[in-house]
Amino acid sequence: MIPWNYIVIGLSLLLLISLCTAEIKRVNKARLAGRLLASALAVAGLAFMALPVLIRKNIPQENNSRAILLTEGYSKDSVENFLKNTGEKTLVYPLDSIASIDTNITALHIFGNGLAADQLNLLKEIPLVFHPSKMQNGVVAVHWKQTLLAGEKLRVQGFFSNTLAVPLKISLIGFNTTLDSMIIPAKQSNAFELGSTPKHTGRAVFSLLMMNNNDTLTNEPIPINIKPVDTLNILVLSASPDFEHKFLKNWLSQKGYSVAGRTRISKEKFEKTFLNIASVPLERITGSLLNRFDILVSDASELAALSKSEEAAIHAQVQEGMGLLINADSVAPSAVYAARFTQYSSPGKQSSLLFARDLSNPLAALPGEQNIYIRNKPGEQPLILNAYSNILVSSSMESLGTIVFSTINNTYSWMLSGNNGDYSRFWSSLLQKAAKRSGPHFNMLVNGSLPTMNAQVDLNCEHAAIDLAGIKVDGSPVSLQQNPQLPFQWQGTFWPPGPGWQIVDFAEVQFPLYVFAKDDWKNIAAIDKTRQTYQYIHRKNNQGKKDFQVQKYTRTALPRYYFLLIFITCCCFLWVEKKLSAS
Amino acid sequence: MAASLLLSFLLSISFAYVVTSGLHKFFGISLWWTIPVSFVAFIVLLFLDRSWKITEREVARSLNSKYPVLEESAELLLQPFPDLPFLQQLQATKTEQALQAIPTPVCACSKFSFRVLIFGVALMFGIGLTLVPDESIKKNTSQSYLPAKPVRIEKLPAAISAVTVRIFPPAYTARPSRSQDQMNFSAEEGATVQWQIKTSSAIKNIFFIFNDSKTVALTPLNKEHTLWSAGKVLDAPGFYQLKMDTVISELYTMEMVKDQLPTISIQTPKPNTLIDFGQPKKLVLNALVTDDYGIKNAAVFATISTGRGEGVKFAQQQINFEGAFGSQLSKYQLRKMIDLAALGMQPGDELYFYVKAIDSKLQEKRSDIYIVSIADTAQLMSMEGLLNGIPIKPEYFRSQRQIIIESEQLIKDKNKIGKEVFRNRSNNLGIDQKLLRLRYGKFLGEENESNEDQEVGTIADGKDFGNAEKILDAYTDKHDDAETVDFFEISTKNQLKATLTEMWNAELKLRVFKPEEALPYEYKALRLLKDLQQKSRAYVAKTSIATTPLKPEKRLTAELDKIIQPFRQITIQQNNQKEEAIRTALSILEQLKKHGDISVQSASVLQKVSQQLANKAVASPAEYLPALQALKKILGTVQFQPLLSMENISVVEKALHKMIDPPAILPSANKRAANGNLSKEYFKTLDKLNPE
Repeated sequence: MIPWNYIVIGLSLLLLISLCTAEIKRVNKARLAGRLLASALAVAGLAFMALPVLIRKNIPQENNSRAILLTEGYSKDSVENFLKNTGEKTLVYPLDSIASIDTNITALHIFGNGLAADQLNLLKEIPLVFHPSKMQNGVVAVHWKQTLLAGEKLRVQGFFSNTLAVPLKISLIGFNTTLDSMIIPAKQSNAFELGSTPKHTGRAVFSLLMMNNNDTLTNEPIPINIKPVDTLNILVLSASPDFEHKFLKNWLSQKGYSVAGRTRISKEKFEKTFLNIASVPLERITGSLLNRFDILVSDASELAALSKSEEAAIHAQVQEGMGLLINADSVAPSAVYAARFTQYSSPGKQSSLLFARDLSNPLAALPGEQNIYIRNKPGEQPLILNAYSNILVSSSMESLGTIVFSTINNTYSWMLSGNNGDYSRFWSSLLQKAAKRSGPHFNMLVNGSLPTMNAQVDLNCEHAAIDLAGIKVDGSPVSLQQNPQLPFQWQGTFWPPGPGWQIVDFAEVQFPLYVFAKDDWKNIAAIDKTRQTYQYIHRKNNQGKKDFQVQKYTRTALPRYYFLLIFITCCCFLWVEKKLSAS
Repeated sequence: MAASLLLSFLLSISFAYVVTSGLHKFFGISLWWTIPVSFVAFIVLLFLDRSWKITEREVARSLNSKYPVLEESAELLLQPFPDLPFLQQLQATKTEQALQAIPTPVCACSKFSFRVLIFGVALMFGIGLTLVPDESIKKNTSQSYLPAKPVRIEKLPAAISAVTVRIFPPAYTARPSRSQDQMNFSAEEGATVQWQIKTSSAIKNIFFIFNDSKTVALTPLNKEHTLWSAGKVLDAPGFYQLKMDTVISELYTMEMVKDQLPTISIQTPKPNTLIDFGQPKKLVLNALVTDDYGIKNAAVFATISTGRGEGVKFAQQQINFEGAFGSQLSKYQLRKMIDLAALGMQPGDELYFYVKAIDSKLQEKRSDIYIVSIADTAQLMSMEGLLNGIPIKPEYFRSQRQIIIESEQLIKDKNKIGKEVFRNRSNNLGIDQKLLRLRYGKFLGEENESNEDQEVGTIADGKDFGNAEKILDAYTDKHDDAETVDFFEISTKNQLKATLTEMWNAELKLRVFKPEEALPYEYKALRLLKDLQQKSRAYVAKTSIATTPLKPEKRLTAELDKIIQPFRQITIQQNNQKEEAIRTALSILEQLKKHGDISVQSASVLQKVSQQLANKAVASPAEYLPALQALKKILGTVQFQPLLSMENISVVEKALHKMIDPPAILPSANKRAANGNLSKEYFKTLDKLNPE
């Protein structure tokens, strides 16, 4: 098209120059200006007959003036198909010219994966029609917990769609070792879960590999941050020396926990144990003593033997958040808090595997007959059940504190039989539930699925402080805005400049945040954009269509016979003028 | 003649080429063999063809037979023309003219072109054979020549021009010495290793550093200080380095193949064998003894126990296998027939034996103990158990005993009594055996064969017409009825079933008048019944208890002042620091991948971890040495980050990850809500709304 334009213009100019020189060189200089004008107009008329002249024209609303916006991942075929059906008038914009889209068109057809929220906002009031691309081969949805405690299992869960005719293998790779893998059959969509307990402490980037035999199709990062376990202070009160509490104290102290123990051996006579903790007087249970501990572990009969004032102190501390773990015994179901849980006995059942609410694998059966169970009541959360769904350990809330009630009194036999794993899992589950809430009052959430470099990241911080000036991300400050209704919530946005781990630095705490590179998790990013585009269109449609009733324009070519007329008129003038000057 | 030779030559070459290319393809024989093979083929062809033997006369004769125009006169042309008589001269002239008219025989030409064609085809066939790649050959070579483990490419210091490592396995392995030009080696336990190192220039001194700790100096073999040697007896695996003046080489592995104990597997007999009445008192022992180098000796050690209760006596005996172990092979299939009667074993005696093998390193290995016992029929017949125990079903046992006694009597009387009487008595015994079996069958809920006829009469009673209950009662088995069902354990039932089988067999033999053959089954049935009887017994030993005397004056006084309160305060050292260092090192390496620079603290963690890795590498160099080397490289270049290689980091990460187990799950403090007092107020209000 362009060479044709230039050829026509060039030829026209040559013609114009030759005509003009001819007119100027003529001996009879009469009506020179008129002649020059006429020749110029004639040449122009001739040229514009060859070149179309576009003019802007108002069009009524019914007229379809459309444009196409091509976003990432569009299919060429579907765009061409669309153009064939609608005619060539439609304008096609690539993604980078999004800002220059004419806002007066009646509909903008978006092809491909769609746009991010901030890009959609640039389109203002243009009505949108979305033609999303087909689902790509690969991971469609994925989630994992980025910050884990030491010993916690990493579970990467998601959904995988295999559009190929060959089975694909997805594997979780960490430290150059395949930790877990799974085969997705050909032409199938499957949920997947890959898991492994990370062995490191600190930050690391695992990867999720999708392989077709030995060809790696994709390699996506799985950043994880392993935090060391915060140890607890635990007070153990026993009515008599027993194996259960002795093993518990030893196990906790070997793992670095601070344990104080008081065992009643006779009237007003106690055996006192202080493991990894300075000795404190334990004869009387007071509020200030309990304040040092996160959890109080006691058997029911020892709680029943306490004085009224000691009971009150425990009650007050539990309401402030201290955990209370009660081991049931047949003696004193009326002890403080123990009465809340209704026990019943159902003899004759064999001991079986134990199932915990928060553990994936069942615990091994304990020897001996277990026939005291807890009745399920509203307001209580069962923690450990047996195979017949009888509740063995249950928990309930009391203000900020948690009370855990257990009818199992022989977990030490796991230790004796060398099954340290089940012992550890059982007590971790119970103590974790009961543990006091402590630590810094800071919480941070990132909106959207994956924070990506050079894209907007919304931070949602929660902090109890009334005046939170700002935080720093990798040294550069981010200003936060306080939520007017909930004063502890703060919002902010930033644009991470590079990929990798970034430290969100607040005066008290440092929060690692992984920023993904542009090419990481392309599929997820595409699906995210598709979703955002749909949401945007849906929201706009709900706002009402009257916003879009704006006068629209179009560009059309002027009919060519106008120029023919000018040309003939000019030529006529020149001919008549020649005749006149000759005569 | 020449053409014929050429043809033979072509043919032999093509034959030889096809053959040798085929051999080259399938057996890897060189293609140069074509030349001698074609030579041989040529000679063979010549002998077959005998073209040199063809005389002119023969040619003339063949021409005569082929062309009648010659009128059988071609021979005339061979004789000198003037010598011929006139008539023959005439004939010769005529024949010559006729011969001129005969077209030159095309046969030779066509034969020639045919053979050329064969030659061409053979050539193409052979080329095709040699060009087509063959998987089988490749597979073959990869199996035979490539080592199982991937070879690590080792780097020698620049000053070294040649290395020879000679390995002398210990004499008992009977393996020849070998030498290699690689520093990484694998040798037998106790092998002597000798190094000879040639340097390109004179060097003051060379040391070996074994496992990062022990230093051994090499001795120069010549005055120029360019040839060095050292020796070592390999007693533990590990790694070593070469230190030449100031240059230190990379690490080389020393793998040690430990001498394994011999293995003994006894195929027969079973661990517990019972020889019943009637079975031969012989034992066939089949054992397979293997060792990695050689078996020096093997023997059976048998102990015979005789008597029972307090009168048990033991006799020990060593039984050697026939055939000497002189050649000290690594595998022996041993077979020995042990005659128990020859060992003096009586019914009721037991034989305990095991096989002991000694390998060429004089290491001993014993098999499990196997027990062979001979059933004691005399014990079965004794009434002892029945007299002082609770008689459970004495009459049945007595009956089986009775049948045995009577069978034995019958066998004794066989010759005295008549054939008819013998048969009669044998049949009667069979009937007794059947009745006994039926009685036992009841315990297993088997049908009583004889009661069906009786029932029919009672049902047929007109009064009970239409009484469905009665009919059902008569024709159904009430297995689920508490009154009729038996309460035996499954194992007891199985044993009863086995007893019944033996009784069946005994009955069969008695009914066909073969009481001798019935006897073993009768004994076995009795033994099984006896076992059943023994099962319901329990033995409680007599004990005496001496309690400490009580002091009544000290009891129930409620005085606690002398009771001290135990107090224990301990701070327990955490012993997981080594593991923690590795855990931290893993994330430090991850950071190194991204940034390349680490703090001094991190570097010291890596330094600590490298010591742990070195300890591991000493134990299993093949697995951990590359990682140790990589970590040393990382530590050496950590200041210059561009030099860090991702590959090194990956190798170290993999090794460290392998070294430790995942941490155990532990309880941790819960996180506090960041919403100030809002949640606190919420929970308190919740409590107020739901008091209990």
